[in-house]
Amino acid sequence: MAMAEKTVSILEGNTFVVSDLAGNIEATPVDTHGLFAWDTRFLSRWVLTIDGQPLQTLSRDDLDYFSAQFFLVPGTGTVYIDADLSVMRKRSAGNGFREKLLIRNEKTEPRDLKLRLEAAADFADLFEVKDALSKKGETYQRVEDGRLVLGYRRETFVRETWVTSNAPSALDEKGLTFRIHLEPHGEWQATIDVRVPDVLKATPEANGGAPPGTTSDAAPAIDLESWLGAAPKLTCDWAPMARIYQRSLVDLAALRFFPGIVKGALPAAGLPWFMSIFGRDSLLTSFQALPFVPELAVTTLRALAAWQGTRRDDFRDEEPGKILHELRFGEMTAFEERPHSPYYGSADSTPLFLILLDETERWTGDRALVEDLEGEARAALNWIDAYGDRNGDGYIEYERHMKAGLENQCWKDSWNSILFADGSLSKLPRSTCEIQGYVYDAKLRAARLARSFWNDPALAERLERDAAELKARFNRDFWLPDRHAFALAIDGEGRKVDAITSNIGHLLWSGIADPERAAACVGHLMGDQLFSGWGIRTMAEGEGGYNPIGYHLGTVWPHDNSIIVAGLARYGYREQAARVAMAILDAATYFNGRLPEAFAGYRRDLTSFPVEYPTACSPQAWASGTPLLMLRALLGLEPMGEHLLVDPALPEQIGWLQILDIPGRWRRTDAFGRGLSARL
Amino acid sequence: MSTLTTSTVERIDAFFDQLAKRGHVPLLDHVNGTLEFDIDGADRRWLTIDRGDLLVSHDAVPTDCVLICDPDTFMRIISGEQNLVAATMRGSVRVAGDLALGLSIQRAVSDGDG
Repeated sequence: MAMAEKTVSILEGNTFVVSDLAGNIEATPVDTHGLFAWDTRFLSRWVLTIDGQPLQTLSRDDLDYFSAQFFLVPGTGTVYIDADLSVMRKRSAGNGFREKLLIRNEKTEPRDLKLRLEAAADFADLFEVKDALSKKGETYQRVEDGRLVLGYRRETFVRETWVTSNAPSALDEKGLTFRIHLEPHGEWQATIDVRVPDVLKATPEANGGAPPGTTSDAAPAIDLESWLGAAPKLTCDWAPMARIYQRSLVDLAALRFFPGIVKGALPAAGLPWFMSIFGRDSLLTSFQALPFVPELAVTTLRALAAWQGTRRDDFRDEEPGKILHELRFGEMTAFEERPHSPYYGSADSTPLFLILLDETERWTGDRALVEDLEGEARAALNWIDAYGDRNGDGYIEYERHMKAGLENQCWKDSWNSILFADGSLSKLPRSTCEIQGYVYDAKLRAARLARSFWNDPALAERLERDAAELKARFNRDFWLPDRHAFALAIDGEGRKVDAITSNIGHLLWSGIADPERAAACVGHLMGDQLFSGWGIRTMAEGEGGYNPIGYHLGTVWPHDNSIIVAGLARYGYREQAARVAMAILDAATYFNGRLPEAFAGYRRDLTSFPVEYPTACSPQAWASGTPLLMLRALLGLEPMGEHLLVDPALPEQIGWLQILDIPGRWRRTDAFGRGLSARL
Repeated sequence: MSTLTTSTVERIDAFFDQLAKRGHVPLLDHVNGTLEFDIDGADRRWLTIDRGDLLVSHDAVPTDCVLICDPDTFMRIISGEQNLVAATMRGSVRVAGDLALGLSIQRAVSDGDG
């Protein structure tokens, strides 16, 4: 069950605003309120009072992901007393935010009042907010040319927030004061703009830096409408499916991030901590969404190609050809106290880049894209062999070069995620199993591209040979004969890390597992130790490190399950794929159709609902993309030449499922599936 | 305008001479446009990139992007000591106009190891 919400979040483009239920922003060490953009808090205080009194919330309305409306009256009491004033506060995000205030006098006598908006900005870096660090520069405030400027300076680093109003007001360094006269039943309105200049542009006045969709009040709404209008239409006899699908599409629209260096939008990883480009998250989300919104993949590939590593830089874990992990814009990154400009500490984003490149061409037929990115794809292939495999054992392993880097550079990136069955910690450098699977898949896919588009059959043959050798070696070296499963990893001392984890499901998605070993993996995945009834746990119950509320040690991650479902389907385990997909979709109904980043690994018969992980990000891009990849797997959607194959295998709860207007190289086509129950 | 030491001027000149000599930088194959380098105290330069082909000029040509910084920062960027993206975030390099074009210069100074 969702916890009682205490905040309202809206977002648009690269901006998000977190306030209380009255619309006020009052950042404290425990309340992460604020107006955030570019990984910086541009407002830490934004409090509305009338005649010095705070207001009480009658109701509020999250109109869309980019706007919210608050209905307020004077007074703070718990008992509502007939108010003589109505206050409406409507806020829309986009390159800062715009706030419209409307006050109505509900009495027959005229009224004079003083409305005050207190404003302050601490310009905290998101990293500082997370870790409660203090600032090194100076803040300043000034009133100039009818606007309030809140600023921060540290050497050449300057960030400013500009506040203006269209109604007469007295500005001071701490806010805006409006003296208002209201006739009987009279109204007063004002529009207040809080603007955040683009942090990378030398002349913010001239450039504005507004991402697309923020040029007018109506633009985000029109943009969302056209986004939803362009997506395929879903109908299903299982009632919650339509809502889950709609939620996914809207959340992916909300999480679009405009990278600035290429046209278009790509998925940011998630609200509130990860509103930025993440190689792995953006790639996997784009993969999940390909049958529905293929344009995300194109932007993701182009942006990541533009930022591809070109040099060895140990501080950033950068190497030539490597695809980035994370890009940040805050003060600590700017002063190189953090390596995120961008940071390259991800061992899987480079093979995932190749996988998405091939898959995008298969769906869209975008020949120009794969021809254009040939150089980047070759550099990525070179990175895998020349840098990814650090010790020449034929596997990618990772270990950060500097302490600022990430300890684990696989998707389970918490420091203690790679454990032995007895719960002890493995040693660095680590080769986790799923990354070797991605490399296998990436090489086969790159071979297809080399043959079909780059006119290089010799490269294609070499890659296919490499992949076949890797598969043979992997099935030998990673196999745990005693446990009938693949090891989670091989560690720095050459030991097989023998915990049973969800990672083995990714090996099915990649196709690296031999069929009989795949069958053993399916046994584990569908067994009670890994499958909770709500989904497949990150680590099996009974392992030494298992913890149903440990971040990567037993929780259920929806995106992880979507990849496993795709893997089960790939190996022909369609009934099992349908069972896992249905469990996750069922779980989604307990979260209003919005899957969280992760939920607890408790057995389904122990809790009557899935228990949300305490600090899970929501919405989170690859959780939002999860239902989309599930739908693809359930309907058996697979591009074949210029056509889309449809080969449905639905869970018994679903009688029929129809998706119309699926975009692709076939322009638009439909898919329909009938379930087992409907067939009988 | 500050006066630069002869050695700084020489090193900046050498950098642009070297760029002109390289003629083509594969890492810039997707880059098109003209950059103006406005380095405090040094002669202004214009660099035109046409799908990786480079042309350096001392004469003003229409620009898509202006990169503004002090000579010390510029030296550190071209020697690979200073990351251009972080310097831009910090405001020690200012980019006016096409940001992607401005930042692409990092690729011209850092192909291969080191």
